Amino acid sequence: MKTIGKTFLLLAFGCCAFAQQWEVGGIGGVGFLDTVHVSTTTAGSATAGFATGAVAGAFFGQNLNAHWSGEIRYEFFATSPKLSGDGSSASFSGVAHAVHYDLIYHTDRKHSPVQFFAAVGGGMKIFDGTGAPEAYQPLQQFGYFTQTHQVKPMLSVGGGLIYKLSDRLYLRTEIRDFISAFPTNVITPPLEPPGQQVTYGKVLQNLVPMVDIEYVF
Amino acid sequence: MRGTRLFFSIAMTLLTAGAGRSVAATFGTVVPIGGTPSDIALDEPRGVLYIADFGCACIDVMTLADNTIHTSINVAPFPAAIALSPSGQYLVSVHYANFGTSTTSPTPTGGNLVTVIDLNNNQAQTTYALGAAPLGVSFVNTLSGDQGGLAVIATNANVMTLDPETGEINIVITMADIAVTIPQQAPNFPGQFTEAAVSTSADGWTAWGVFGGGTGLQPMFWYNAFNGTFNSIAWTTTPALEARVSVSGDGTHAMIGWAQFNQTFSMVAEYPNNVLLKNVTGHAWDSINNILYAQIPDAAMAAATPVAGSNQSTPVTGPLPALLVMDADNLTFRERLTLQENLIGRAVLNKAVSVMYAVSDSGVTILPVGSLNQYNRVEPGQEDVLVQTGFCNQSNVSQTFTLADPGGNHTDFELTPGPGILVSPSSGVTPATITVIADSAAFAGALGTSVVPVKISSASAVNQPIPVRVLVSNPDENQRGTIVNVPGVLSDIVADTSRNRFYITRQDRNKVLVYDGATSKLLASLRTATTPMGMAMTLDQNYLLVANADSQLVSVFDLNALQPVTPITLTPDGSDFGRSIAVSNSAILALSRNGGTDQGDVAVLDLANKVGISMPSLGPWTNNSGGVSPQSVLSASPNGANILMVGPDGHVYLYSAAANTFVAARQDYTALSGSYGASSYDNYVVGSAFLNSSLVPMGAFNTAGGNPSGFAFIDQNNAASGYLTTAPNATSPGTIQLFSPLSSASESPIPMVEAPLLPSHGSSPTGSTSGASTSTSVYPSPDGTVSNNGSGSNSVDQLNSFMRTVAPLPSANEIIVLSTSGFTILSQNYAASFVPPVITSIVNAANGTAPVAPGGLITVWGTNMSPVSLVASQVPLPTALGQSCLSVNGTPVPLLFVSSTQVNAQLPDNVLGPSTVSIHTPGGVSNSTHFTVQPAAPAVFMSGSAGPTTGLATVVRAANNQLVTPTNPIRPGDTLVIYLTGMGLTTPGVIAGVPAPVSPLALASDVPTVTLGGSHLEIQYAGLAPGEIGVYQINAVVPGSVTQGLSEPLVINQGSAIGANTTLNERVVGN
Repeated sequence: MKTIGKTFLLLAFGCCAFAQQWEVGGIGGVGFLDTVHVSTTTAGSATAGFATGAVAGAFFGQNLNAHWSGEIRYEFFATSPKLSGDGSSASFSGVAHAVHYDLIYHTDRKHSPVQFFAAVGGGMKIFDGTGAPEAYQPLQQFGYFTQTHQVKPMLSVGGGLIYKLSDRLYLRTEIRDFISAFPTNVITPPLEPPGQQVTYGKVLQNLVPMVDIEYVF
Repeated sequence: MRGTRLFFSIAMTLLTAGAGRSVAATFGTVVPIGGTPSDIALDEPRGVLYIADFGCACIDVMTLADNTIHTSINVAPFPAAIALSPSGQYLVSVHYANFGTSTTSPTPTGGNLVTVIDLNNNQAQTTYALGAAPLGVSFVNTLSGDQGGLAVIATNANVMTLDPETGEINIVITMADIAVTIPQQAPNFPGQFTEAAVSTSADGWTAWGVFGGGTGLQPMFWYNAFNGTFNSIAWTTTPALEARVSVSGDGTHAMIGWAQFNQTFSMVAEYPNNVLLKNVTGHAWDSINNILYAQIPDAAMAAATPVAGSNQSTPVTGPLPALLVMDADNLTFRERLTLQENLIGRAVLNKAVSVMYAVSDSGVTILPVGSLNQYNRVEPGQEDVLVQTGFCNQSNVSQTFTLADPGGNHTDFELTPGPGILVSPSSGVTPATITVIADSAAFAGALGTSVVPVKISSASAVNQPIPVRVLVSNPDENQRGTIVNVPGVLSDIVADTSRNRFYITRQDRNKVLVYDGATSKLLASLRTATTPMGMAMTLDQNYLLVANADSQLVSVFDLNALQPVTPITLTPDGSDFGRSIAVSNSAILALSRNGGTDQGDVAVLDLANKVGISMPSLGPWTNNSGGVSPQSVLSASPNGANILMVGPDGHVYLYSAAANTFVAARQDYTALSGSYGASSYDNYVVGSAFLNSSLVPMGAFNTAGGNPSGFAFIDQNNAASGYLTTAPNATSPGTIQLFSPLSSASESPIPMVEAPLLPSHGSSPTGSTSGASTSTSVYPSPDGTVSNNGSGSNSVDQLNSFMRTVAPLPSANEIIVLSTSGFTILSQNYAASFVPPVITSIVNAANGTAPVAPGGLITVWGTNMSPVSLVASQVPLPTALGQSCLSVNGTPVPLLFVSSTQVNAQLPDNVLGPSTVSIHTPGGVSNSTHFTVQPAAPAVFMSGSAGPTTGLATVVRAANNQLVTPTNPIRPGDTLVIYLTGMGLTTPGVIAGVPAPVSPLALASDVPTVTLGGSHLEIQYAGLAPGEIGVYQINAVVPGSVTQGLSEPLVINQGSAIGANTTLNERVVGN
């Protein structure tokens, strides 16, 4: 009880001392390394995941105190589901959406022209297979591309630099890792006869270097 | 003048309607002009047709809306030809005054003039005098885009152009003085005075013209106004080309008289078997639809006969005028329509190519060619009906064919079958299904195939339907082979062992048929030039070369893509028409008929440059002279070392690839015919004789079996050997024999189910570029007599004195023989004693499980069940196929496929419970195998394929019309279409072997339930798939609450009996 009370007091004081600054911004980046390993009993190994693609988004945040802020973020991932194996690859149309809330720690918000920051947060990622279903797909021995969507909880971790461009305008460069479970509804491990199996890696990590522009008001 | 003429025209129309040729129905409307029509010009924007009247010095103006002449334009005397400028402003008329000196007739008036009528300026006329007599006129575009265009005028001394706006005249080229003087004795017509015609392509740039029409020596030209190019040549023909010119849309080809030329004046197509009927020819070219509408007199013209029940006491004699509808590029026959009167001049099509206007005897005939479906016509659904009796069924056997009006009209018909054939109904109204019954008593003892035509006539039809050819096959158990019916006139066969295919030329439809060697199923049809004769494959096996008897083109096909490539032109500077081709290691030789000398001419084909060049000599012997008959044939040895050439006059020649010339020639016989072939061991077969490497006769076959018709060397055991086929006549059984000329290892002749095709013995064509000659054929003509075929093709002249009928296909262990009904398939061990068949199991044909139901498709597994592999190609399905017949409870059942180990068939509706099945082949009757027929045994076909994956259940998502697979899973709300068999009886019932009807639909009497993941699907349809035999279809809707998963059970249930339900596992996903 006491600890919670103190923490709450500190946050409240920090909030009031920082004059409640808000910030809004836009995001642009590229997502990559978004795959998991696929192992099979009879067909060899492969990778399943999402192709390198553009990321765009926006955020709205609040500076809680001199070093802490919180922001709610949305990212759109233009990354297609993809399978690679047997010396070839196959892809399917698809996109993803991420909505999450992050806590950000930065060294000195107000005074330094350049600051380091670290971010951690959580939310959800929506994987959406949009391609047309076909009776036959290449590499279907490793997985089935499916026209459907699936929501997975997501952890967001990252960090970067903030550059003060003016009193109200800041530029961020950062790298984030969006960690979620693999959406097996969108890329589905094939059904195998008894004694044979296809195994997918469980965790999907999506590294996204980004550049953000934020406006503080 | 006009009033009198109009009255006269109406009176003539009324008279014409009651008189004319005594035919049942005619196509088109005749508008008499009360004069002598010489030319027409169509002015669609103004809604009129201009008709030049040679005798009245006027141009009649007929309104298109009511096809009535309301007015006329008075012009100078003798308007011989007219043409309308591209803009429609100017109508140009040329006036022919090529007067000769006459002491008895008064001097005609007028002069050699051209009149330009300005239709936008109160028809103001400007007349120009010409130094020469104008014969024909047509307009072309100008590069400047001048809408007035340029008139191209052919005169008896030159070709000139006239600018209608300025009157400027330019001479393009001068010609020798041609055309006749007037006056002439009647009945001569304007076309016979001028003997010339000029027409322009639809794109307006190229004018083609001909002079000397009807004389036998015809100079012709084309002029391209876009680049100013002019080209001309003179062709000598017999019969003469009438002065009629129709040009392709792009100006690259023109039909002149009965022949078609390209811009190098090669004759790329000639109408087969045309005959001379003075002044009668007319045609129009529809480039949009590749159709040529033409009246070209031919030997197949039906005679006029009185209509049954009419009050016509005396029929008008002479051939019936008929309009041929053909493929424009190779003159392939489509249909023949009866006309009221002959076409004797220019014919034009309107812009929509829906109405043809043609100068005809009385004036103009209007032919609504785009509205043919509104006219009554009768057409049979198939050309041949094969009725097979034999050991499977000794009673009267029946088959059916349909009669329909292509336009959907209800058209009367009357059928007249030949002897021994009963048809029911014999008269009625279309659509109709006709049952053909062969009276077994009438054909008892006739062990070959009898050919009996069923003539079709109609009081209201405007077309002349070709009789249906009924083939009655009645072999006994000792006769080998399986008949596959192929309609038409077949002239050659070549085996492609590398692809396990064989190719057959069908002459009357100008195509090569491509068959799969494993199933004898037709894979493709390749269009050739006119009247394909002999074929040969190139040494690399990539191309098929086809010589065409009525074209200077040798057709070339890429056998990998099964597509045509650029053809070879035979002797571009000459007039060779191909007949036979052979490929050696050194050269590809083509034997042609030289149109000039009418002798045989040997040319070397240059595949790279697409040209054939006549050999200057055949070694020390002359080429293109007596000694090389145009009916000779070429045959290359399989190793490409030699080519044999043999003629019906007994001449034989040998070409050596090593020497690249002819090295031997002899004439030890006064006549030769029948079979021919060259061995890789330097032995040769000609007729019934075999020759050594120097072409010296070494002996003769024993032809007690009849006339030798085909020989194919197979050269086994390091010696020349081959298959010989013989038959005494076309309706007897034939024989096949493995013959080794130089050894005693020859077999006894083995009887075949029917005779191989026999060569004709028609006379050599003499003095005729068209190759017309008298002959007989087995293909019926419209009047029902067994003579030339309906297209007019003189097929037998093209068939030759020699036939290649045998094609061994080692890759399929089969021998294919061209025979009376099409071709006969023989197993390579045809001479072996037949082993009795054995049945091992009966399952449903969908998924191979045991339960079967009435009306369902079944598969019978066993051994020795058929000597050949064959897919049924006729509908209704036959009960005897490949010399095998399957009986269930003693009744023959319809067959889809037979092979040694597998037979696919359909169970009849009246089979239920414990049953027996047996199969009867030439080897005997199998064991009777017991099985049980369930009331319902639904089984989904596992014949679907997606990509490389096969064996998929035939369940289709209607949303994307693709098979349900894990990558195309089922979704809530989907409509599924499931194809299966074994759903049992239907309402209404459908006879086994007959396709299910479209209306009314045949619904399953026992309605199934379908569940997916435990959820019931709404059944929208459950019954026979329309148009299919033994295939059922279920349409079902997936509910929104369906369970999702990778493998959800899809269960089809029709009760609790054994086999009454079937389960598949399918993937289901959410939306």
